[in-house]
Amino acid sequence: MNGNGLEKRYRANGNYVYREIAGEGVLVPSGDLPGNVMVTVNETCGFLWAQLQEPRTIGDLIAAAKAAYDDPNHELEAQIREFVEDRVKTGHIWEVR
Amino acid sequence: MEKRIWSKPEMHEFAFAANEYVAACGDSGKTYQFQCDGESGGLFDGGLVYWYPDLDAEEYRDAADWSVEEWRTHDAQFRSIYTPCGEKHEAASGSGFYWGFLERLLGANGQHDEGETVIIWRGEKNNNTHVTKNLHINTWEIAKS
Repeated sequence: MNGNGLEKRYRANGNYVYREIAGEGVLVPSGDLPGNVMVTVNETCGFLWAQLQEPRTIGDLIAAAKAAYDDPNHELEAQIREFVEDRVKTGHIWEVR
Repeated sequence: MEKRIWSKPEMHEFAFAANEYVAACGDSGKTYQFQCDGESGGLFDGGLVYWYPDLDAEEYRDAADWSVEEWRTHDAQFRSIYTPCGEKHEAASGSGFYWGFLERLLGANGQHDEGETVIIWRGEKNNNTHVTKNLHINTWEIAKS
């Protein structure tokens, strides 16, 4: 552990099912999640969600995103870290052992 | 492959609002036993419900016998997520039945799942989604007439 959280692995909450509805990415709740609430996701979030179908470290996500995206404002890394941190808190992403 | 431009990843939650449309069918003055039985056999019982808001009255009457090709000539709009409750509901003829289809969720990230034609009932307060696979309203059990 180096203190910056790179070794932790994460995956998408398996109770959400990703779909494109009318051209928009949507996470559909299943299982015990409330059925009247859906989550729309933008394109980069959909990309990360696809990556997170398997356990990934933040480093994995950053590497995959850098391979797929140009980052002219140099904000990709910070935003991925923030995204994972926030979505673990909301339960959309699980930390896995 | 050309790279895309990175933008901040965002998620937004939204809840479904009550339906604004009412398109009633069935015989006036009757109350039916609406069997909510739209099990799909997909990832979970139920799936995604779409409906057809642009059907005219004549099309509503004849739609039970349409082929897939006939359905495809009409635009379906996403309605809601659906989980079958398995209950029978007393549904008045004027409370609003809608043609639609139920899309099964077969894979975690697939986008082309199977669907089948259903009739949707929005519940007494017109804010719910119940689905039956029995497309012939004249065969539904009558609760009151």
